[in-house]
Amino acid sequence: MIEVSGLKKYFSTGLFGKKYIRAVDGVDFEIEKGESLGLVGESGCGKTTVGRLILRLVEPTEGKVIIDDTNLFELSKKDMRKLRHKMQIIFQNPDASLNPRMRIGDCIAEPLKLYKIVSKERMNDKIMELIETVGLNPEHVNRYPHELSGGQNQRAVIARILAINPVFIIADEPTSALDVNVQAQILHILRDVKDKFGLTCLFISHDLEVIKIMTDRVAVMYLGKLVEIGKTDKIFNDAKHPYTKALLSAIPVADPDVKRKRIILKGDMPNPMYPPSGCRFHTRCQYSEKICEIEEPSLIGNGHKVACHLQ
Amino acid sequence: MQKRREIMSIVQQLKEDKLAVTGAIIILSLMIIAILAPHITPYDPVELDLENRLTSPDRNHLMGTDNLGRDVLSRIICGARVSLGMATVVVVIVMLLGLAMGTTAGYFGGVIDGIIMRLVDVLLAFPNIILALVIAGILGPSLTNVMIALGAIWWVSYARIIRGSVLSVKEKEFVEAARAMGCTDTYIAIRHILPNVLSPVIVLATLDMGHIILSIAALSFLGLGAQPPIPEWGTMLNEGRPFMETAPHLMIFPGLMIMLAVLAFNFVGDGLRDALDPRMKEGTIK
Repeated sequence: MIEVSGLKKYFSTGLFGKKYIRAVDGVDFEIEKGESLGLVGESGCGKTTVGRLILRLVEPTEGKVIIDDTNLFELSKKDMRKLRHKMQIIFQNPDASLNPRMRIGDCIAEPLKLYKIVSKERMNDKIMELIETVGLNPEHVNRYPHELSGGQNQRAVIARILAINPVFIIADEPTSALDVNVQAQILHILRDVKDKFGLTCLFISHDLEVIKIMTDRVAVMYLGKLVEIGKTDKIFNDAKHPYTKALLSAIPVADPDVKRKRIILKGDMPNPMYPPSGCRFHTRCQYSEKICEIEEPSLIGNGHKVACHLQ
Repeated sequence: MQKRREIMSIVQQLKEDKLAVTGAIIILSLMIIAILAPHITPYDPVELDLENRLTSPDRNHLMGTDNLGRDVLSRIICGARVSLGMATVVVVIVMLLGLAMGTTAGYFGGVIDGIIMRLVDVLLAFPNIILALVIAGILGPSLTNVMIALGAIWWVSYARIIRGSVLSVKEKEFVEAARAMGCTDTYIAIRHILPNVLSPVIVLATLDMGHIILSIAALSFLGLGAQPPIPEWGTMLNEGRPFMETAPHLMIFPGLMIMLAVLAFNFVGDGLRDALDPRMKEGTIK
């Protein structure tokens, strides 16, 4: 249903815009209808930019995003606006995602009015229905965002998004700013909502536990490129790429007797302005060989794809 | 509900600020005087009484009479109406212009931003009063032209401040969410950005009321504003100038009134700024 191909975004910097930060440097994947894909990677690898590019909140440097046979990047601004109700995004910081000067009820009513989804008389009923779906109380309608907790605000954000019946949702670290118990509640709501409305999801997170529960397939991103993509259980049980292995080894295990072999990565992620030659991961990879420094591996495989020379 | 509570807390804070309370009382009294002006003047402010020229303040004329025998107190009272009314009109013009230009520049950025902000830079390079003089001079002396002149130059500092706030607000997630929702740019600017940049503007406007009253008086003093016989404080100062040594009350009273009004607005503006400053309040901005 959604096909992303050759997606690139270079941010120009430097005095005369001669240097580029390659935030996203050629990303391809597709998401089937009703499927949820996880996108993992460490901070600064470009996963958030991918999310924003797909919604065209940021204009791409190159590439295509095809949703139901329409290439979003070829649309005019106006045509794009008409399509926007189909796809929505949930941001990391719920408190900043709602206008501080608007009551929760007005925030939810806004999309309803914008797309004239219900008549004026039915407006209140519809808002109450949405509020109930996400587990808020009717009294919250008259509150302002700063009077509610992060979890309640995130619920309101979800209600607001559901108001316009999207088919595709991007959740960009939807629980990172929340307490652990609230995280669980929000994830439950997201899952219920996803099942109830048959939504297609792109779940962006650095939290592998969350990804494991929420997704059918996972894509692992490193320095603006995908290094591995496959079924969630395959990735978690049988990761191929050394970077994925390192990420997985960092998940804490709740059993003190289990001895974990942690793979500690050397150094920091390289500067995306000057990505390393060949395989981008070779500077930190413990298996790195000559070929890794010279040739860039492509993402290959059937179903479970890996970008590594040593496979 | 929350808005009322917010306003109540601001009022509460203002109440504790003695200077702001004093300022507010002065402004209120001036406003009442201005509104009731035609009914409370002891004499007709433009009626000549050539037999009682330049009399010192006494029981009949509390502030004396001017060189044409007009009652100074009556003229001061009517002057409040002219000065406050004009200053209010100018502030409204300036706020509307500043909001429109600042929001446009900040929200759309790029070339539009460049053009507007360079215009602002050019206007800021000259002292306000000189530009106002030039414009009022070209348009010709009249009250309306003084308001146009002041409005035309005063919006720049508003545009700057608003642009700055807009730049920071537009990066907030709720603005991006609105874009993702399919709202039009104009809608986002008006509904989501404007309400969130208003509070610094209100402080600035209160502080500026004083400056604008002063500028109107200055332009009138220089003969560009209110024309005689309209009773305006600046014009009265100018008319009293030749008699400064023999009848100083002609300048003292209008001067005092201007000072009082400017001070009052500054006190309230300062108090309002402190009260609206989020660092002075608890739990408002998360």
